[in-house]
Amino acid sequence: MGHLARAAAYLAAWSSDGRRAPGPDEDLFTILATALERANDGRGDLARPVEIEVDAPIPESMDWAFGAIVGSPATIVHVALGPDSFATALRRAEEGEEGDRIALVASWSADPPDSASLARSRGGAGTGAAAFLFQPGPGRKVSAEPVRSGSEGSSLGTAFELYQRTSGLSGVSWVGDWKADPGQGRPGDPARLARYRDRPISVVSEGAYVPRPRYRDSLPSRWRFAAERCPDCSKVTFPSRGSCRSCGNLEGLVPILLPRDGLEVIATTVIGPGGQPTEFDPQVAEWGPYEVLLVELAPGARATLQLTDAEPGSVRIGDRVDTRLRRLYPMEGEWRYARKAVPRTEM
Amino acid sequence: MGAGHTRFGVLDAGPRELVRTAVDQAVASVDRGVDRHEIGELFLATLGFGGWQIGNVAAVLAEEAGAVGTPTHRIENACASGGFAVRSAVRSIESGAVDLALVVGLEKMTDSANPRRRYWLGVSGDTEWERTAGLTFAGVYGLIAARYLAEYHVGPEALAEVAVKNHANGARNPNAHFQKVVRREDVLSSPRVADPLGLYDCCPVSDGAAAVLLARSEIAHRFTDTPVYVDGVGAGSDQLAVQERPELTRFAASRRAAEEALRSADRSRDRISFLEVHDCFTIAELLALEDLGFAGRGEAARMTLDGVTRREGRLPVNPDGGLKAKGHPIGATGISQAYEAFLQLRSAAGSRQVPGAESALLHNVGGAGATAAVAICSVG
Repeated sequence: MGHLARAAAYLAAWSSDGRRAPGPDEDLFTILATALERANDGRGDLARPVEIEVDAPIPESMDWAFGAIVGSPATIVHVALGPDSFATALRRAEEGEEGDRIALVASWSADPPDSASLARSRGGAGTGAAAFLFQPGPGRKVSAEPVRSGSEGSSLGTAFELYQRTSGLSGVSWVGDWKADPGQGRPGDPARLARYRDRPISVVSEGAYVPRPRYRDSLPSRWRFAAERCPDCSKVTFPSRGSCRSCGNLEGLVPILLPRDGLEVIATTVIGPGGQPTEFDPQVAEWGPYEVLLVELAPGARATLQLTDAEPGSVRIGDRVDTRLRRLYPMEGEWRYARKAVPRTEM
Repeated sequence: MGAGHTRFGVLDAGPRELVRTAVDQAVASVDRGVDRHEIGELFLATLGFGGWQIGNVAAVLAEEAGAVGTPTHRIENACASGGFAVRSAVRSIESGAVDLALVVGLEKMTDSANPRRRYWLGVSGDTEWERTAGLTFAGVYGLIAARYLAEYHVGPEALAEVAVKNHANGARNPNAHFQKVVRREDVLSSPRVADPLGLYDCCPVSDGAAAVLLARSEIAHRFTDTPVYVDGVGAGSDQLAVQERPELTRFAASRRAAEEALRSADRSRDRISFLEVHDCFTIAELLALEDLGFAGRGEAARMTLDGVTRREGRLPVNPDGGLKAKGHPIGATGISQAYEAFLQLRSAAGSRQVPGAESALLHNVGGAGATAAVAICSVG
């Protein structure tokens, strides 16, 4: 029997007041991943295995990617999608005997919900994701209480209610905002957005590229900013490479995770049309120029990140930015993902 | 003892013809002639742009040089291939293995149409971390330029002045890709490629080849009364990805290469008559002046705006127009710098002659500073 330790939300397009539509580089996986990593941050020891109960129409072929998000041995359980499926996921997560468990839910809708459906679902409509971390130990049971009427059985509505209900509970940390990130997003023609986002992933980019095995090997650093601290010279090497970049030491490197948010911008450039690698051609054709930032994750550790959710040219040297997992481009028959910079939001 | 150079630009000639032309010129330039079969080793600097012959391309050099049978191999360090090929030839001669070496740089870049051309322009940067963020070389240099301008409180006029000066020099070079002058406002208003770099801050995509013949110095006078000596070479390397370097506005590879070359030549900087530096983007020339030790940190901008680096200035930089105006056929660039030294130091550079040129420093950079080679040349 576990207790609720952390509730996390990520809402790409929550409300109908036009504040934010999901960006062209967001999809069901990226919003699931963002909620999941926020809940996962509360786990502490990542050597412990975790079971993730997933309530979202995402194929089992993506299970490995959830493991890469949490950085632990992970078992993924897909609950059957249905009217009360998230209640089922919560019960499984809460009633598990040992280890950490996360109930994860997301709903994806290309269009913002209208006010009627928002009212009917009490806010549980549209596009968004939530994750609830349960850890062993006693606590008030949250999954048994009825979650239902008014939410029309919407999984996201169930999550919304639980999130609200647990807000006052001691011992529960709350991460994220049950509202859309305000003031962000690039206005765009929904038809173009859909055309870009939903184009067939059989497109194979032309260019020097990262083969799939190397891409997957790189995910701890690419998605979670995993780095290594050298026990001899104490310098940080990012991305992780199994050797100290400063002194060459191979022994006893300590894996660490670098911050994902509040990163200082060291340098910035806006890539004009034609200046992009060919695999970004479709993005540039639909969305125009983009900004690329060099940010500092920690002293001696820097990352090169594309800016998203903001007009190119809007971030300057010395600003601070947050990061989110987003789509890059299709390669070898599947979408590739990486962290991108977004304007700083205080949480 | 000999040097040859094709026109740089958008050319009808194919890669074989370019190699043949440069080699024939180099052989013909040897005052007392040379037997091609005396050449002990051939070096071909090329990226292999476009994929017309990716592997074993050095055999083509042996064929077109009329020296089939002679050992030949390709040297590839992206844009620094040429500088490293010169260095390898020098080392080969120094080792005592050969007395004569032929070094040829080649790139045929305009055969390929978009997007294949952009494929090849993007193969030499860091693929795993920089390219996946949407950067090509222009983007990496854009980051560096933005940081430079912010760190030293410099305006974009200093970048523009590099282009203005190098175009003015290129206008006097009959081999240059661009032989027209540009105004500062043309540069500043050109379309943005990777802000703060505009189109006129970038070198062009060019075809071309260049060749130099090197002989052991003890036998140089068999071939000419006015040999140009390679007094010292140096080279260095750095992290491939710029994000893994402690600083953006200095290239450690260039600094190391320069120190090594000057030391082995036993030459002080105040005895260098002119520089050939790697100005693939305008910002790169400013970095080069500082990394090579001819300007303090952040001072290259003022030095450039003050006209010090013009052909008639105190320290002429890129009298041939540099990569910016002369063009940048990747593998040929480092050899082209040696060609310019051969002309200038023999007072044969015509209307772009640097008066009293006695000693030159040649600086060739691979990518955004992952590799660099420097050579010091003189009239002895």
